This record gives sequence, structure tokens and C-alpha cells, in this order.
Amino acid sequence: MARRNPRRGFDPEAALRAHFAAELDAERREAARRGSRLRENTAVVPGPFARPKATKPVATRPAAATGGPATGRGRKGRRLAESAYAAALALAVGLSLAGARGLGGLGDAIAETTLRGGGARAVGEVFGSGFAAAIEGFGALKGAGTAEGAPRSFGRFK
Amino acid sequence: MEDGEAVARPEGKGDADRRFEELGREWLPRAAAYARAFGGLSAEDREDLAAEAVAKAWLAIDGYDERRPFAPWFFAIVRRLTLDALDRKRREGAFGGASCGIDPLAEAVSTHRGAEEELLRKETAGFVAGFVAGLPPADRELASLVYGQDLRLAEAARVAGMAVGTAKWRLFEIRKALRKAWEREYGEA
Repeated sequence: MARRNPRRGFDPEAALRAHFAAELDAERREAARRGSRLRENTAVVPGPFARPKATKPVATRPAAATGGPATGRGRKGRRLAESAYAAALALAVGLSLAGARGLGGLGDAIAETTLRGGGARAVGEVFGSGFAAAIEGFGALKGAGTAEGAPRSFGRFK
Repeated sequence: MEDGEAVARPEGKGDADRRFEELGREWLPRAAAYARAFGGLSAEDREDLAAEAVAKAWLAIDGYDERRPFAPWFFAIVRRLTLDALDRKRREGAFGGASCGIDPLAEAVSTHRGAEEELLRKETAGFVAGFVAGLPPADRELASLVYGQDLRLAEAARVAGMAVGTAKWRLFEIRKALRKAWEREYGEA
């Protein structure tokens, strides 16, 4: 008895939907993986804004410091810092614009609840390493640059 | 605030935290998946771009009309950022080195199927991935919005910057081309 051709009944639309659903699933898995990589990295890399100027870089490459085998973690850290810097700049510009356009309510909500309120780590686990580090870094930057409760100044953009 | 809204403005501090987290959880992967459709961006590029899109959407949420669907508004932001990123890459001469990122799909394997069925599924997935990768970028973007992000045709057309009639015709052509390609490869569908 002849077997049914298993490739019969091909539906292009269903195939395209399955393809793009698989892509989305892959991105969701990647986002989850980046969340766990963040936890691994934050133990070693303090973040782009956390290092005081006069301090030597600390333990971004633990293998090099101890003479052990290279783990690639230093490179990860640099990439983390770069992407974090970019995201932080985008966020900073956005917040400045929001403030300049009189949308202070939302900007304050982000600064006070998300950035200063310690929510960045939790958000980072969801969002991925670059953005979380950016939020933390930006929070530190804001904390260092302005006194608590002082009005924000946007320099020449004010 | 009505129930069932995808995104709404925060009403308080705790609400802002929760909504920000919801925004990221749902829309960060969707932004990255949509950016895939353009090709030419690495996983790291898409990661940065998606994070930037979510940040921009959050900061601009006062400009979002809650009576309208959120997805087209959000994908318009992602699209602008993606085109800017691709433009930067072209200017830097780095374009063409990155794949459109279809390789992780080969790893998306369920262990609860028969061997033959699983083989066929993987083969089909690989075939469709190859077909999609070979589409012109505009078609890939449109198919991604309609079949991947479940946007309505009119919404997808607006985001992609084309007339609804054109979008409808393009989707028909894509499906037809896929069916033809399948039949060339495997016989009558």
C-alpha cells in the first residue's frame, strides 16, 4: 500500500507564520539568555559608570590577572560596556528631551522609580545586559551629577 | 485605564515600574524579531536596537494615543532605528558581513515528535527560512509584520510605508512564490 506523501498539503501562509513565530521564539530565548548573562557579568564588570577615575580597571579580565586560561569574559565586558554606553546615551537624550518638552512627569517617574528605586536590576533580567547596565549607569550618573531634589539642568539645551 | 490594553501610561511609581517591565518583556523580543526582517544586523546590533526602541517608546509614550493599537506605533519607532542602523553600517562599509540571523531556528527542536516528522519539520523550516532570506527586504519586512507580528494588513502597510493595495498584492505574490518554490523542490503541494 502506497504511503501518503508527507509533504502534501503545504500551506505557504502557515509556513510563513511558523517561520516568523520561530524567529520570535528565538529572540525570546536570546533575551532570556542575555538576562542570565547579565547576572554572570555584573559580578565581574562593575558597569560603565561605576569605576572611579583614579582607580585601575578591576578584574575585567580575571584570567589575565591570575595567569589562568583566557575565558573571553574581558571581551564580553567591553562589549557590554559599549552597548550600555550607547543605550545610556539614548536614554539620557530621551530624558533630556522629555524634560525640555515639559514631559517631566514621565521622566521623573523613570528617574525616581526605575533608575533610583533599585528596579534596574529586575528590569535588566528581563531586558538584557546592555539596557540594564545603561539604566544602572545612567542612574549612577544622575545620582552623582545632581543633588537629591535639585532641579535638573540640561546645560545649553535648557 | 481600560482592561486588556497592551500599553498604557503609568499612573504611579509602582505602576510605572510594572508597566516598564511589561513593555520590555513583551516588546523587546518583538522589536528584535522585526529588525531581523531587514537583514544585515547581527544579534548584538538587534539587541542594542531593541533596547533603544523600548527606551524611546517609553519616553515618548505620552505621544501614544491609547485608543489606537500599540504595535504599529511601536514598530514605526523600531523601523526608523533599524533603517538608521543599516544606513550607518552602509556608510561604515560594514554591510553584508552579518547574516539575517536564521541559524538559531535550526536549534528550535521539539523532542516529542517522531523522527520522520521531526526531520520533515526541520527540512520545511530550513526551506522556508531560505526562501524568506532570499526575499527583497521590503517583502521580508511586510511578511514579518503580518505573519510574525500579527499586524492587520492596513497597519503593516502604514508601518512599511506602502499602500494597502500594494501590501495585499505583495503578500499574495510572496505566498505564490513560496508555493512555486516548494513545488519545484518537492513536487505538487
